[in-house]
Amino acid sequence: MTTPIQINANESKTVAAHIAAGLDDLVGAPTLRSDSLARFSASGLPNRRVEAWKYTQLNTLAKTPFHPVIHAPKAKTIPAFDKSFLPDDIAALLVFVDGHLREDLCDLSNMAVSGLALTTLGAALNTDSQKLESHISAGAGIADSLMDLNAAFMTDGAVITLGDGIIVEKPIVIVSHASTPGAAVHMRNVITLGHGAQASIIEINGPAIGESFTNTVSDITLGKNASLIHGRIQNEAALAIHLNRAKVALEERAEYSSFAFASGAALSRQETDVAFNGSGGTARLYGITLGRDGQHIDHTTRVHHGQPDCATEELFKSVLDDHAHGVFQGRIHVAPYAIGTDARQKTQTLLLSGRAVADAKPELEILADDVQCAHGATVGDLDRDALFYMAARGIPPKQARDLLIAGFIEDAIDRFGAINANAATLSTLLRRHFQHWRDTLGDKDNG
Amino acid sequence: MSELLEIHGLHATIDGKEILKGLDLILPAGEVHAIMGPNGAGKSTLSYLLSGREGYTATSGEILFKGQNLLDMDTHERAQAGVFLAFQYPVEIPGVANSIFLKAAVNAQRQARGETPLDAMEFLKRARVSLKALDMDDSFLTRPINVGFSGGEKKRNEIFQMQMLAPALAILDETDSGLDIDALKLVARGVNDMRDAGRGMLVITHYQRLLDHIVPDRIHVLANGRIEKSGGKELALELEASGYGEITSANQSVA
Repeated sequence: MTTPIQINANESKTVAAHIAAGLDDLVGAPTLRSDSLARFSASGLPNRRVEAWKYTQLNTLAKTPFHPVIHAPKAKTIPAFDKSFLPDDIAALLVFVDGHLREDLCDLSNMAVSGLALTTLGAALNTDSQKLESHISAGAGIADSLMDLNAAFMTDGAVITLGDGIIVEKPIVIVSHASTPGAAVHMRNVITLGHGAQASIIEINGPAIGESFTNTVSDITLGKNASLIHGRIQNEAALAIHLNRAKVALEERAEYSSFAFASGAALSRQETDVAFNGSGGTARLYGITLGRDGQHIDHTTRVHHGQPDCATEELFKSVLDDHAHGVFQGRIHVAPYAIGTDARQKTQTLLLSGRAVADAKPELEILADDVQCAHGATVGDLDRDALFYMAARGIPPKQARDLLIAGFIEDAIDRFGAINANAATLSTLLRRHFQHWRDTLGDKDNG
Repeated sequence: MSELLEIHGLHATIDGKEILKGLDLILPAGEVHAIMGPNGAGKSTLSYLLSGREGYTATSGEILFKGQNLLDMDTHERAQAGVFLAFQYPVEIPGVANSIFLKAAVNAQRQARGETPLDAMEFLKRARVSLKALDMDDSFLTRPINVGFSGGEKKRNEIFQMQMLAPALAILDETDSGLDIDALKLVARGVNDMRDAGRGMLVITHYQRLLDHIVPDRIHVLANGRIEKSGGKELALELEASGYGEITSANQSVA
């Protein structure tokens, strides 16, 4: 197979490494892969001149060569995964290492739901790649070029399909580790819920070893009245680069509730694209950033209100210490005929250090009358009145700060947990990951 | 032997403006004193100086609490030593449950005194006794601190905290403001339950109304940055009849 190469691979060591690897050894979807690579080649990696990537630069990808892991690495031990990082009760656990399924680490023993089809992208590419291809969304231009890079080099992921009316009460958990230093991991998840179906899917990107580059894309389609709780928990190792994109399409009255948690990686960007394709849908997009040292953590959302009477609720909270850099970009587009739209966006940042930086870019484009849209962005230090109130009760300053930071984050986790039982389960898990972050923060202070 | 609280010749400024101009006050243990006075006389300034709020600076004079120099201590150290301020405007803190906050406070104070911390069960047991007395249900413990509380609930929450912390010196800053008569009676009962031979209380108020329910041992009138007049509980009625004008202007004519 000929790989069309038009870009100057010298510009980026990672791009060069991908081009050198080629597509020939990748299984399934040859046309999709080569078309995607052709689009990627035409646009290249996003740079700072691309508006959507203005605040987040991918220089490390240019300087360090990350190689696609085309063949499953020989079984090796992965970093010890603390069981408390998983929900207590799960419907299914899928574990991927370097973008390849590790059957020996999966747990499908509780999967007794009829109407739930759970397979892997690797398997689907082998057997029925044409059917799969219809669910894989293509990028449109340079801002999306990483989606194309993913589609060209995707190796594995979860393919979850719920039939009409199927309700899975416990979460389906997708764990992804990078275990080879220098690995470029392209996971692709395809999630489809039929009419009235309900599920909770939690992606956990656990501690990687050394420098790695994860580029995960999830294509999510929710049928009429379907409801999905989608958790993305990112606590990767300090040198990791983590990119994650959820592309979500909602039919009439469907509900998508997402919580993106980021505490790890040197560079992290979790993107959520929502398109309302039917009226009466609801999107709840929540996220937290816990940044310290020189971490760069980005939450980017784009919501397209293309139909009437849909609601969007966004709440993103960041705690930034040391010289961490937090980015929030929230675009809400309301089409001329999307009357009755109710969109609310709120982002709040706590700067714990004078060197930490926060960029917040709300973008509301409203072309319809009779809509309610609101956004608010605050950046600040801990509330002095609250600190005084705590001190006046005998709580020492360090403990007071810790309680206030916890309260700031807890507020978002709490609100999300109130959505439904599945969200409450995810909230419990988020609290544990947050507690873990607080504990390691204490280690740092003492050490 | 020094008294529980002694304030001698206290001068204090906020943003360079002198608010207290030589204030003297003695509060012996076991007594409740009321501080009354017109708006802007420095009543709240006094409460913040006692609790150590940022921005309130004593330029001369001293505050002795159990013989210790209070002005040398940080806010949390004063609280741990037994100073409690019931806030005029209690602060709302989203995300932090009342119980987590109060348990942290109780145990920080116990730890400072060398006592073992209360476990969750013991804390809950004690909390329920106070909550019941103040007609508050258990949900107060899980709600975020003062968020969405009515004015009356906030003030009751202050008294609840005071009961749990059992301070040696309680300063109640306009605890009656924003309360209807039923809430006022509840709060007053909560305060009266705390009267004790080892404890002193300073009740700061505008109105005589609160003093019908919390009967003070002495009343001080704070005007022009100092205590202009002191007397027994009957002084409140006098003030109610004549207002503060006489005291304020009497002083000005002398000056």
